[in-house]
Amino acid sequence: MKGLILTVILGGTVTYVNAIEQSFVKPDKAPIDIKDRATVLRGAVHFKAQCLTCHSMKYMRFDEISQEAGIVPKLMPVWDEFAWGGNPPPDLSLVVKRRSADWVYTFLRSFYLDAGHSTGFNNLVWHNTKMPNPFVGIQGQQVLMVPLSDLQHIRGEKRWSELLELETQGAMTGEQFDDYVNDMVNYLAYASDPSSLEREKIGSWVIGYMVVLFIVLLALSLSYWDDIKRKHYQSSDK
Amino acid sequence: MSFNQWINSRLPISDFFDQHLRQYYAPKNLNFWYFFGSLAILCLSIQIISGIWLLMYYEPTAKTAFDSIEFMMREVPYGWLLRYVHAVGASSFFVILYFHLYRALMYGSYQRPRELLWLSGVLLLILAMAEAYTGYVLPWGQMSYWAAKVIMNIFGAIPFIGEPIMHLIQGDYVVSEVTLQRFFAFHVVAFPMILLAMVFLHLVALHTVGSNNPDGIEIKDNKGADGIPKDGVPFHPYFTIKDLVAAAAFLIIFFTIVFYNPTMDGLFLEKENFIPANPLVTPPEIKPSWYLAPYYAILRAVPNQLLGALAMISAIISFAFLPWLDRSPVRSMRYKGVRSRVSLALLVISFLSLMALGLLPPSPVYIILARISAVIFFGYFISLPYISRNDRHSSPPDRVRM
Repeated sequence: MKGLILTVILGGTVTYVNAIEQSFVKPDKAPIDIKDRATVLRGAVHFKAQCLTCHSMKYMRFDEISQEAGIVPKLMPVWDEFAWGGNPPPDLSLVVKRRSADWVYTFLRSFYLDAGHSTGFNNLVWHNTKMPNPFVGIQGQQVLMVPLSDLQHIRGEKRWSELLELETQGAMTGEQFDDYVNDMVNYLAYASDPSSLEREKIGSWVIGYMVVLFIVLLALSLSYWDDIKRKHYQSSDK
Repeated sequence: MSFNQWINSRLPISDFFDQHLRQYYAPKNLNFWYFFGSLAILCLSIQIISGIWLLMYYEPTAKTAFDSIEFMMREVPYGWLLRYVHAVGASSFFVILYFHLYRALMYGSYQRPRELLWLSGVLLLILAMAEAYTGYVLPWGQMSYWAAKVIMNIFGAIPFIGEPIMHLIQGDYVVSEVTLQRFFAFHVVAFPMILLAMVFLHLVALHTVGSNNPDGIEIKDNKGADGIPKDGVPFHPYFTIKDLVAAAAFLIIFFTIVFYNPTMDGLFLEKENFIPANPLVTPPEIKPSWYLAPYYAILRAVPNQLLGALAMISAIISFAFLPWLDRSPVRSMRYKGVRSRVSLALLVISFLSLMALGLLPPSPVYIILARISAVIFFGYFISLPYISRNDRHSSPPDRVRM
């Protein structure tokens, strides 16, 4: 139905290239705080170690945090559109703005073993993602506790942790790994809109000024209109 | 000869100011709903000023458009502010225009002798949509590209002349960089100039016939010995100060959004538009901006593309016929009968539900709901002549209430 309607609207000129992304779970809430500079920086360092080999961060060229973590333009990989079988790893500068921090936080932790998939691992948030599991070493290997075919029925009702089980322990404990990923997401959230720190600081001043202006103008307006209102209610000729 | 006299005998600035502000008499009972006209001008000014600054950094090519905006967002000092102001400004403009339009429906402001004022307003709404749509394409994100494609296909659906028109507008056989550059020219030069000219005509028409008011009676029918309407007050200072209060209140809300939630969780800046345009990948769903969603819902509700496009265009044009469809002897809802009130309420409900449905992914149930809403929406215009003539209207007072 959806496809049909889209085709009707687009005049039947479009061929579908992408399969619609499927997510099977409810996303977890990412406890990020981009005002916490230390965690953002830690996340940036993790990002450089884990992600920068494949993913670029091309819009973060001169900010202090990325510089400090060593995320610099000359290290960023550049892929052409045919790389990786036509699925080059995307630039991640805007990933949180496009998805959401919660989505990324859940996605990164919900890889599971799936021998039937080309990378050996599948994902509960993005079924059949082309991204290999980067965390086997530190998180360990997870396996699906329900049959693959059941996933369609439980869509969005459960969280990933209810469906996956750790088969082999990685270098980190569960809690350490959550923090590790969360720091990374914190950096990604910061990178998606670095203005937000400055924005919220200036915002309260601007709005405070407007409120004062509003009160002054309102008082002025009421005093002007006083006259008109008095005449209106006193006059017999109204 | 004073400086003022020297100037005014050559260029009548003071006379103009007197005539259109100090001696322009507006009804004294204008209420909340009458703020939106001046707020629209404020918003348009914000758009023009922020737009000029964006223009200094934006590069209209398929390769650089997206990057130039992200460059602005991160590396230009306060570039993010100008960009968010412009984006939030676009949505605010439509919030204001829809309130302004609702005010006119509620108080019958389109009725004789304000038909041309009304028509210029409808034209302004259409121009604003064209301006917003061309602007939406400029960031060259996924949704920019596919939204451009959807609208271009609507033009293409016109029989015989559709395809040449589509090719003329997009400048290519498909939506491409050439289209981007054409839309850039439309958005930055052509439409704003027409828009400003129309705003001027709108104001000239307004000042010729005078403002309507919540009671819908003509204040010019009751003039004092000095020829001044008894219920009129000089626009300046009374309404300039009142409008300034409204402007400050509006800016509090406006800046709260700009500084604390500029994307409005994807409503003002769609999530899908944060990936660069890719002609090879169709986004999972194509969503219009919220202010165009009602018309998009109508387009989607009709199974035939040409008829759908026709219905969509009629939905916008229908408003233009209101002065001739409304046969009520009174203007304001305050004195119109129950049937008129109910039908206006239904129009508002159907419009809002079409808006919601246009934003939701199409499912069979939603399509049916959209069809029902569309029938109610058009039903308002079709039934208006009968309802307005046969309703039990009460008679308005001779003088305005305050």
